[in-house]
Amino acid sequence: MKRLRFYLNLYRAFLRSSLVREMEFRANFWAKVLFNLLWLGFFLATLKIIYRHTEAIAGWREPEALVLAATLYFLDALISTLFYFGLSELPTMVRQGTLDFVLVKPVDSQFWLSLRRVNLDQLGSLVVAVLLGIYALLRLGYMPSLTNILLYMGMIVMGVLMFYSFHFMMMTLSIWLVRVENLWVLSDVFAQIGRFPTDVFDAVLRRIFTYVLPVAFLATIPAKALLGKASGGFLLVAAGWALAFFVAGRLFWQFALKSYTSASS
Amino acid sequence: MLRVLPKIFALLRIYVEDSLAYRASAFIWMLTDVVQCLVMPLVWLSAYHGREAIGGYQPGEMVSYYVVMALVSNFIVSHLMWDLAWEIKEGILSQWLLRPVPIFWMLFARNISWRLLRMVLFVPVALLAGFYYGRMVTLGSMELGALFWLSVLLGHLVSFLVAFALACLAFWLQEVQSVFSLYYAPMLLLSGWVAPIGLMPGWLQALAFLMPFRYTTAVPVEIAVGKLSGEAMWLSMAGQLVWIGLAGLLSWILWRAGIRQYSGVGM
Repeated sequence: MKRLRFYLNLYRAFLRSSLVREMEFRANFWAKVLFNLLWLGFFLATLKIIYRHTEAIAGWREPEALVLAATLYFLDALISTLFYFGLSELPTMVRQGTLDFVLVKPVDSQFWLSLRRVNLDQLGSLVVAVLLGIYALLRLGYMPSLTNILLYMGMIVMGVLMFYSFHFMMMTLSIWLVRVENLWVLSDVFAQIGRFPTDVFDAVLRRIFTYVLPVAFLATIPAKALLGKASGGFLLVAAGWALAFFVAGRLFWQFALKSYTSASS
Repeated sequence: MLRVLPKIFALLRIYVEDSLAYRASAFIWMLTDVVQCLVMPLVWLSAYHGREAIGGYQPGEMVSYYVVMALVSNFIVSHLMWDLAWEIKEGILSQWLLRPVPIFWMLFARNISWRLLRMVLFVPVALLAGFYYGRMVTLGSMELGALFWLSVLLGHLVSFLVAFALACLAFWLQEVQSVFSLYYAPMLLLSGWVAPIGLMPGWLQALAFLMPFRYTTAVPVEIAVGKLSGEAMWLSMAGQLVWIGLAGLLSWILWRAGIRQYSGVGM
């Protein structure tokens, strides 16, 4: 209990220092918002080009695909806010040997590495994602039930956890692959596969992307849950996956630290 | 020109070895293209609903388009501005200015070695993709003649020179990385990487014709899948030459002006 209070206080300190940091670079804040909108526009343009020529892809009509896009955008903003940028500094720390300073701190190293940077400039994107989702639902003329909304929110939490653990594992690889600077691309590729409904894949790939490399749980299945097309059982599968990934990530990190030799010593 | 040739070959040898040292990074970058090559054709294939063609593209041609696009964009599309801008900022440029080789050739050799490695790495993937899709659709016939390769080379020059001009902004701008990031969204859209330009709405097509991006990858890929031939093809290749001239001139002006006020931080 005391331990828990210690970590809560620590997280409050992280929040405060992130906020101070954000205030220092206010011009950057708006640049980031603009930049995120540009990428959203880019992806919506891609969808628009496809739906100019067809009614549906693999059973997904345009507004349904927009729900998927909004989901992915929301997930992305959440990930960027909570841990993405802090965690992505791990390879640089390994290369420069500054990871040493983290390891000697009397805190859990995974906690410190993952949560110390809260990126508040993504909050605008969260709002935009919600607005996009509402617009898509209005176009569909569909009002999700409370159960569906709760199911959806639960799945998003699981999706964030899954992506977190995946990204953590990829960053952990830098303990061995010191010279590889683009490990973050691996996590990006993971999310990229889920940009479109995983229903476009053939049976084999669809199974792989649901049960082996579970990208379907990032956006496709949550979006289906919101649209009332996925059963509640999927939430259990998602929770199972999220837990398995989290434990695997933690074990992998502890295993990797045994091979860590520090850059400067 | 002749005197500089042996130097260029020496540089090429150095940089090919150098880029081989980074093969793990190259492999990871390649995965981005693998995903694009896997997802986009499948998205389109599930959009046909039994129709003959979409925007003039039969299913097999659509697949070929993305596979060839991924293959040649590995060679064509240059991203040298990130490194070069960093080298300008950190003053690393200074040591190169002292070397007896024009810096332009050095950058060219470094860039093309890396691009060649990336393309060679992608060849097996392209073959696998061809095999995978071959079971689903009849792949479109390909025009991989001399004109296609010439157009690939011209496209490489367009992209290289545009990236070079962009990098020169680092002489003046502090936060040049955000400018580079902004470059990617229009580039990926208008170079035909996302989808064939012919499938876009009219105003976007018109924009694509005016910007340099179409003349990097879209032109050679459309030639390869047989969507660009005859007069239209010659016009497009002339467009590639025009952009090489414009981007080259712009790079030269920016470089000359930039180097004059370059202070060599960290010397």
